[in-house]
Amino acid sequence: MNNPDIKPGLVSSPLAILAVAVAYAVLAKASFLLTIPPGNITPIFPAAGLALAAVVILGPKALTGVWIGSFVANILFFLDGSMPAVQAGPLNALIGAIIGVGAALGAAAGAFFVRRCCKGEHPLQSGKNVLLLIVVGGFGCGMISPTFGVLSLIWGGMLPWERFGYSWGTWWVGDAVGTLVVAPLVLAWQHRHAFRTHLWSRAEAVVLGSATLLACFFIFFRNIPCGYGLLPLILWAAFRFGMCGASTIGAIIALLATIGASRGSSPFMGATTNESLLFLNSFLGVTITSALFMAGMMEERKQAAERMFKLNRSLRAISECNQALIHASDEMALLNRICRLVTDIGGYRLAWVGFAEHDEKKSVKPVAQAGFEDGCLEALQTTWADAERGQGPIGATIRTGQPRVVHDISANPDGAPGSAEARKRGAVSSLVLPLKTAGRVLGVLNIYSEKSDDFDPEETNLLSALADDLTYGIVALRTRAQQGQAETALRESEERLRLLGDNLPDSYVYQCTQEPNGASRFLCLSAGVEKLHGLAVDDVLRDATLLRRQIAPDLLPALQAAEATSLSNLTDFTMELRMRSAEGQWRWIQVCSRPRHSSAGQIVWDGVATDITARKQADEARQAMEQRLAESEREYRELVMLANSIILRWAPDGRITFLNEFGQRFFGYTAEEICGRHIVGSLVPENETDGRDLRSLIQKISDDPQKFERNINENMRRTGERVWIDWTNKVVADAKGQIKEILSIGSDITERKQAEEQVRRLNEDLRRHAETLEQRVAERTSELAAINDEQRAIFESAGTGIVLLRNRMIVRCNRKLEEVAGYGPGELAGKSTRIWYPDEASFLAGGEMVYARLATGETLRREQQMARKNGTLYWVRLSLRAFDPNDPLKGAVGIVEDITDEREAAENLRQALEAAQAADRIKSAFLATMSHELRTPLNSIIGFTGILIQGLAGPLNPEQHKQMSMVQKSSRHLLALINDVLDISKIEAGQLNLARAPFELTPSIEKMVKLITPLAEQKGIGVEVDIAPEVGAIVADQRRLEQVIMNLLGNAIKFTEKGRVRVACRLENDHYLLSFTDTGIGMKPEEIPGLFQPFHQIDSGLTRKHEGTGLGLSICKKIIDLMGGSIDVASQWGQGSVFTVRLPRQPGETV
Amino acid sequence: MNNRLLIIEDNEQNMYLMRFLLEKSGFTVIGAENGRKGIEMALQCKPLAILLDIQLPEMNGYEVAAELKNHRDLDEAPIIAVTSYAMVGDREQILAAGATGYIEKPINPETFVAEIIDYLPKKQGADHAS
Repeated sequence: MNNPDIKPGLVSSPLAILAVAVAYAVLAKASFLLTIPPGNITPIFPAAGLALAAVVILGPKALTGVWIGSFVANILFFLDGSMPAVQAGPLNALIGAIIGVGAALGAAAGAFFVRRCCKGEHPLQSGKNVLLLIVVGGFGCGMISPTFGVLSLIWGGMLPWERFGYSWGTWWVGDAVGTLVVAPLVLAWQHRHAFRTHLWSRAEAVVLGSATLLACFFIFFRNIPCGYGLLPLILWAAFRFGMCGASTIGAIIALLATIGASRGSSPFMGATTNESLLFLNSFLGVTITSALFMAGMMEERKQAAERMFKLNRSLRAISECNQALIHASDEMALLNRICRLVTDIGGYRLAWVGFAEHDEKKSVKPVAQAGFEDGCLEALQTTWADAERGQGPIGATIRTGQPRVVHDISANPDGAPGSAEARKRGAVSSLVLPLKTAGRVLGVLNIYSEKSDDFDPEETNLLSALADDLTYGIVALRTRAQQGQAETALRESEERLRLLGDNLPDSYVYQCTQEPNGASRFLCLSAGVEKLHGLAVDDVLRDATLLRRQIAPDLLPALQAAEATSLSNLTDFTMELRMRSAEGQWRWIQVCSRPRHSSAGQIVWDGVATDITARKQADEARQAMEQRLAESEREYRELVMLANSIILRWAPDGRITFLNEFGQRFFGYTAEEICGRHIVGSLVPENETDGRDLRSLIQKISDDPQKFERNINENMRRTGERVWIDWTNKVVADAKGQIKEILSIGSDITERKQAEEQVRRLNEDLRRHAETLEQRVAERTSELAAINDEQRAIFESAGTGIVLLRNRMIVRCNRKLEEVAGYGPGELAGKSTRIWYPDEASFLAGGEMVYARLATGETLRREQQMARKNGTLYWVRLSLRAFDPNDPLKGAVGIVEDITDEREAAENLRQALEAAQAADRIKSAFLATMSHELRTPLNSIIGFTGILIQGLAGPLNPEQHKQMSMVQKSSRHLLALINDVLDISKIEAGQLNLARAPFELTPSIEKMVKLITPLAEQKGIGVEVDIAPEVGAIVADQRRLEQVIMNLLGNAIKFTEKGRVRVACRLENDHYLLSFTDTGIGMKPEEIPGLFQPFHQIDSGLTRKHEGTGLGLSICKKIIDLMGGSIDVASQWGQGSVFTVRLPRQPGETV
Repeated sequence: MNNRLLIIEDNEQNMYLMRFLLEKSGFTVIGAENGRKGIEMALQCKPLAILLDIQLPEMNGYEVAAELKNHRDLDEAPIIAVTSYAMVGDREQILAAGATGYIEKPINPETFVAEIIDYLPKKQGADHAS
């Protein structure tokens, strides 16, 4: 509750002053009546209370009224003559005036201090305020008036100085209590609408009033001394009826108490007037103060509760409004809902929202309301223009952006027209809140309340916050709506782009960026990429290298460079790339893109790629064609200019239009001289040397050039020299087919013509010579015929075939050849030599070889196969010689011998040899195998018998030993036989390959002797060794030689019973001679020849005794023979034998 | 002292014969019936000498000799060919293939051991002979 505003009830100040004055005077006069005997002291002075209240309510202007009232009252009092000591006179007027001043001042001071102390609140607002009113206003400032009053009375002589204290005291108390009683009463009733929260129960009021009156009657008139029993009534009034009630009851009590006191029946009568006054006033003071204080407290509490309630309500309303804001999706719905919440929950009467339009009229458009009927507000046409109609709070709020409160809309009829409507519906106060955002006022929220004091600063702040939230909500909704629209627009735009991009026939659009590592990445791609590159959009988006790999590798460096330039300079990127699609097709793709900074700060390229293959191909084709054309032109020009022919162009009328350089030089004219001149007279003479008319010829040519396509005529040089030219004439037609020009190309045939003349002359000479020659030839021919006959005779009589060849043709052959080859007489003559080759290949091969040899000059002797007439082949020995080695083909003579029989024989021989060799090989294999196979079992036999005999496997008894020995002997014999047989076989088969190594002969001989010595000693025969000192090394097969020595030694000892055996060796003619002499039985001469035969035994009986195989000597002989030596025997029957072996020191070549 | 001798011989009787004679003379004999096994055993047992038949199944004596010579762990162990191959050139061939000695079959049971000892590295041979 603010400072009490100007009340529209009291219209103007003079009337107010008058009213105050009159009231004051009346009250003052009335109070004079109520004096307490015996001193006629006025116990209470209600006028003071009125004065204070008036100044509080009306302000300083009431002071004048107070003064006038006081003055008048005093004057009347003086005139009354109630105070006998007082005399009438002008002094009284002055005193009255001074008293009046004092009263006024007191009221002024009181009001001032009360205002100050109450800090803008109503003095009766709270208990505290009430006390302040009473104490400060009443008692405190109540001191001023008595001071002025008493002093002036004393000064006026109406009062003695000794009674100053008493008078001042009573005056003061009277004024104070008067203030106490009246001021609250007036203030409360003046402000009664604010206190209107209490339950006005009329009945209750009546009861209370009655009770009070009754009680007062009894207390103050019947003198029942329960004065303080009035306290409960006062408290009842205070609790139930608030300030008004309390002050009213208080006033009633005060009045009745004072009346009672003045009549003398009050319980407050004391011994002295002073006492009575004190009692009364103290009673009144206490009770009324209590009552007022209580009422004030109640008031305060009720105010607080009210405030709380209102706050609660407001907060709930705001909460609901905020909920509405959060869930709002539609602006109009939101605003309507807010208005509804404000009125329903907020408890206000009406609410509406209007937007400030920026049209001509600057109208305020109502957009939402609660409490009004539809169309009502719109009809009002509110405006916020700064004009007469827009001066109301709405206009002001919109213009200034500050809230406006109108506490009583009825008090300001020229406010918003809306207020009139609102008032019709019961609104009393109005609050206009601006809906402002970012410094701009969108509109207003106008709330009407049924109470006049609903919009205190707190409430206004809360509602301002609500208005701000609402504004925020509106802005957010609008923004969201805008965003939604923007998003929709964006989506549509994107869709359009995509459709566009996808439906481009030969292009696609793309957006790409470069990763930090330099690799490209596509941000988006239209579907055209599938058509052009054969790649799926998603694949390329995932991996840009799929696309990059399609680019021809040689273009990559240029591409990277261009990309880098575009990136660093942020310039457009354009390039034509040759790319291979996934299907393998090569295409030309033109790529254009433009870089820009994206919202994320990266650089992205927006671009289009177009298939320009067709265009490129067309370009290339065109270029190629242009090139060809240019080349062709160049070639033509070159040809024309550099030709070694005369190129001439002339018009049908005979004028020359062009002559090439060669022609110019040939004829001796320059281009300027000859062009334009008539052909006859410049290049062509009138007549040829032999008379032909050339002018008419030229005419004929120009009339019908087709007919004269080739034409030879005489021409003329500038010098007049005549030349012969062979012309080719061609028509050059224009577009319509008319003869435009004749193109003539000419070659100079002057020389040729001359040559032809020469030839003719020569031919003549030749004819003459030919005649002479013919004669001579005839003579020669007859000579030759004679020689021929001779030749023929030799030919026919030969015993072998003779043939004459020339150029591989049989010129002549004799009868013998014909017979050999199976042809009839004369069949071979004239035929190609091919005839006697079996096939083409051999013919060619033979020819090549033969003629090459013939060219060397030799006589070719060769055996080859030839074919007879019947196709059979036969072998010939051919001797061929060329007449002239330098040209063998020219003529050759051959002798042909039939060697068929010879060949056959040779063939048979060869086959026999092969068979023999094959047999030999088989034999070798057999021998090798047999030698191995035969020995293997013998190994066991000999071995184990040996072991047994040696007793290694256990002792043998003598019989076992004997029998084992026999087995051993036999097996040894068998081995010897096998060895010997193998040896013989080898020798017979020629398989015995002798080793050849150098070794010392002496140790070998000695070794053999040593081996044979035990046997010799056994027989008692001595062995002598006589080796010549020069005997050293020999190159032979050591083993075999030792075998031979052993054999001979063995034989020597075997066939000797007594005596000695002598071995001697000496060197003679590079041959070693080994002799073995024994003193044995010897041999008869007829036995000697068969000695070296296999299985020969001189005496079977003896041999059995001597354990030989009978092979020994034959083997020895064979071996020695193979070594290139010889073996001889000399023997005497009964004397002994000498075997002599002769060996070369080193074997010869043929061993 | 090493007195092991390895005999590579596929004929059971020949093997028995040689083994008998040599064991009677105090040698320890290990036998292998083909070239492969023979080589393995030679490497494993490091014999004093190796008696090698030429005619063996799968791998012939020449190849075995050559391979044994390659594995030169068997440094001093001489290879003595004991074979009935008596064609000209057989002897030279086997000596060229790496055999130290050559004993012809059928062996002489009285002189066989002495001939073997002859081929052994001298020190041990001498020890053994005595």
